[in-house]
Amino acid sequence: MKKRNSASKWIVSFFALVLVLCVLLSLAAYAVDPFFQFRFNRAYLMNSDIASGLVKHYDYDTLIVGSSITQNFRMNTFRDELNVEPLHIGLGGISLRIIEDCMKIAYRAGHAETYYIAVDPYLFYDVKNHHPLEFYFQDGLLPKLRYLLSNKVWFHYLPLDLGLGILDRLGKESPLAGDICTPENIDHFGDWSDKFEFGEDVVLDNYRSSRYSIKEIETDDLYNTMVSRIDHLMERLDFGKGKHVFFFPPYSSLYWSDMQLDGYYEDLIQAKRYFIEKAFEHGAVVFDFQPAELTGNLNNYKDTTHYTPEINDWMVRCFASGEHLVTSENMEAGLEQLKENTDRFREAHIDLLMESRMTEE
Amino acid sequence: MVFSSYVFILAFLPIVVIVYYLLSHIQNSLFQRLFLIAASLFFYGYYNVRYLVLILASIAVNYVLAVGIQRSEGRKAKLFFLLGILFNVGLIGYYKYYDFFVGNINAVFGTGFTLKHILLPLGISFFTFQQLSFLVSVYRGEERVGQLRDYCLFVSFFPQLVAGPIVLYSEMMPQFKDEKRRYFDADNFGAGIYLFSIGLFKKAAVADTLAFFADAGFGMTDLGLAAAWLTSISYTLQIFFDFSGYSDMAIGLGKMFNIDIPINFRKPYESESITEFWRRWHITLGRALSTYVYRPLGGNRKGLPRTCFNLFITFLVSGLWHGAAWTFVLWGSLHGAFVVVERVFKEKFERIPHRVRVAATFLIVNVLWVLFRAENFGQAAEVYKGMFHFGNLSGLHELVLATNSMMDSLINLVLVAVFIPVLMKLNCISPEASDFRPCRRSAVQAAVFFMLAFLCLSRETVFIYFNF
Repeated sequence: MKKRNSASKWIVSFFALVLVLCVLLSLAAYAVDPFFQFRFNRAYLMNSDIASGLVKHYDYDTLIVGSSITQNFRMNTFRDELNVEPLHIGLGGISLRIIEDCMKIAYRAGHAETYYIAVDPYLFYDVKNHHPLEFYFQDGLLPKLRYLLSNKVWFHYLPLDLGLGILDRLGKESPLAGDICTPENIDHFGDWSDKFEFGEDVVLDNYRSSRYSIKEIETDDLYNTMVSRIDHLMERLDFGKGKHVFFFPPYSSLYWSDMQLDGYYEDLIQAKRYFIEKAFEHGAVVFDFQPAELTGNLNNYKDTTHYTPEINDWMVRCFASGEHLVTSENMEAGLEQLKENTDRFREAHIDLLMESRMTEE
Repeated sequence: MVFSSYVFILAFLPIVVIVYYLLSHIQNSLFQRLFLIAASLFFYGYYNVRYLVLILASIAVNYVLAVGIQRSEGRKAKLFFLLGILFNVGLIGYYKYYDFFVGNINAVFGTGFTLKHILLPLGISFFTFQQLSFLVSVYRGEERVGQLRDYCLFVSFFPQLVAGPIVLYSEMMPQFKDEKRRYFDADNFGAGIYLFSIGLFKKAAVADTLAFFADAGFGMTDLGLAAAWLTSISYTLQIFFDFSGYSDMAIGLGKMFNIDIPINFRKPYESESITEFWRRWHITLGRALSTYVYRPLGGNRKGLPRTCFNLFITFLVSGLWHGAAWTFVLWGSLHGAFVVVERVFKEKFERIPHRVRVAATFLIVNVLWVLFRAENFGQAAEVYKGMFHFGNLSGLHELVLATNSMMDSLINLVLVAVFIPVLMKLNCISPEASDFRPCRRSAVQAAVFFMLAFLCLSRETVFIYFNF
């Protein structure tokens, strides 16, 4: 009987200890808060995990959300051209779920008056895409606890951030000063423009080694898959919370030629048309950069979809001037222009396109 | 479902334990058993419901055949038995070996048969082997077939379903039927929590950290000497902590339900020969291979040459069981060859000092794990080239960079560095259940292990042995 009592006590002690440890660890992580889930701290390290924290606690009036094609936007161009205080959350391979959850927390935070959302086609057909940062954007007690008791917090950033925080309090310069969250660094959140080369040769090399630079299309029913996910997004956006600006990024004509030859083009265009109509129904603004002439010049790119920061600047200027703004009247003309550009490019580069297909086979 | 996941630890396990013991208040134990079967099938089908159809079909066919064997005599029983072998070998052959077989035919005869790239259903090697062994036992008259629900529970009991330990009907069913084991037992439950916490720590905190170097190194070319050895030793430690951690958790979970699951590891890296290594590593697989392959071949009853041949064939089968690739075949064959050499020169080896033998065994096992981990011979050759090219000392920096995490690399380096002098003695932290002492120290130890592991759960990974 005595042994049984001691075993029962042991079980109670174990759970009590685990509970105490959970509480203590959670409190410590809450106090340091490396990814700004509860407050902003300028002395901490820059890393992609702080994205949702910035949306919640950073000071901004314009939010730009999207995949890697938004990461090279220069915030000063937004300030100069549009006279706004921007924050851009560009995450490579961002998932539709993150965009939806990000908008939800942005609405709740109430900082932004305008939202710029990049519309990459893959968001609507790549149903398997689960981004590793998704849980930071989710609401509820469990995601919070998961954050406070996560490996990245405890074994990576908390010790470093704690050290940096102490140095900052002591007024001493950190050895990692260049990597911490200054407003200048936050402006460059996710910027990859200095890590890659651009130009036609680079694009062709990348293309020959791997045709697709974004997720391959795996669905059998492309159009309906995309429509259902477009509806999903539209249902989750609160268009009464501010001005919503959707923009179709200027992928290269090489990308569209590939889509044509692979038989996806028509479905993608139909889905794009559907998206624009839905956006108009909700009173949103749409910019379409895809029919632009510059998409035929591969010197503007690093691969089939990713362009130079100068193109990002040009897009911001278009936001200000209204160039490439889509209206009910010019929508079809824009889609027709894209087709003309693509047909012309495909005919001029048919050898390249066929060569890559032969290699794959 | 994976043991080292939030959904298992925070939802599945607590719910199953609570409901299971609430059902013990009902006099008829049938409800408890049915609930455990339902929970186990939910556990199995959590990620892919289609797998449920497969395991249920496998259970149903094997049960019918087992009943057929039991109720028949002579040639008819033999026919049922052969059908059983054909069914199980066919099932695992299709899901696990189809591409390997067809790929080799294509390579040898220049044919162009299409590979199916079939996704290996979770735990198929384990539950197929377990059922095959049951059919053999029924055919030999060593087992009696019980009711379908008992058989279903024996195969599907979730703690050992997907990666063992490989259990026998005769050691599980009496426990499930023992009325005394239906009720909550604080001693067993405490021991279960203790073992589960240690296993979770070994998997989530240690093995998954070691994986940083192993994964990075096996993906690189031109590995230098230090980088190649770090890669191979990281994997040697990773696979031990991963699989023995899983086994500890399985044994611990069994304890929580008052079920004793056999121990699977006994300090294998302290072995002084490859023969001894296989008595300490994946013990239940060794037991099954010995019973169903080695002994039917004649075991050691037909002289030394035949014994050596039987040993070699057993290890060849072991290699193939682990994976459908020539790297696994070679890995199994080399283990077999070392065991044969040890058998032939047994007396000479015994004269070598103990420590030298332990170190040499560790070295051989470590070198052979490279074949086991490599996706192909080319990848294995890259690592071997680095390990034995003493002129090339570079590559460590590149390996650290390839892990994408300085912090994990640092922890990894510390783990590898302290293993030999410190962790070697503790490399089988899981004690036998009888060793568990419900004292303050063990409570603190278990709670700290559990919490450290829990902090690592956010980087979700699967167990290495789920691939086999």
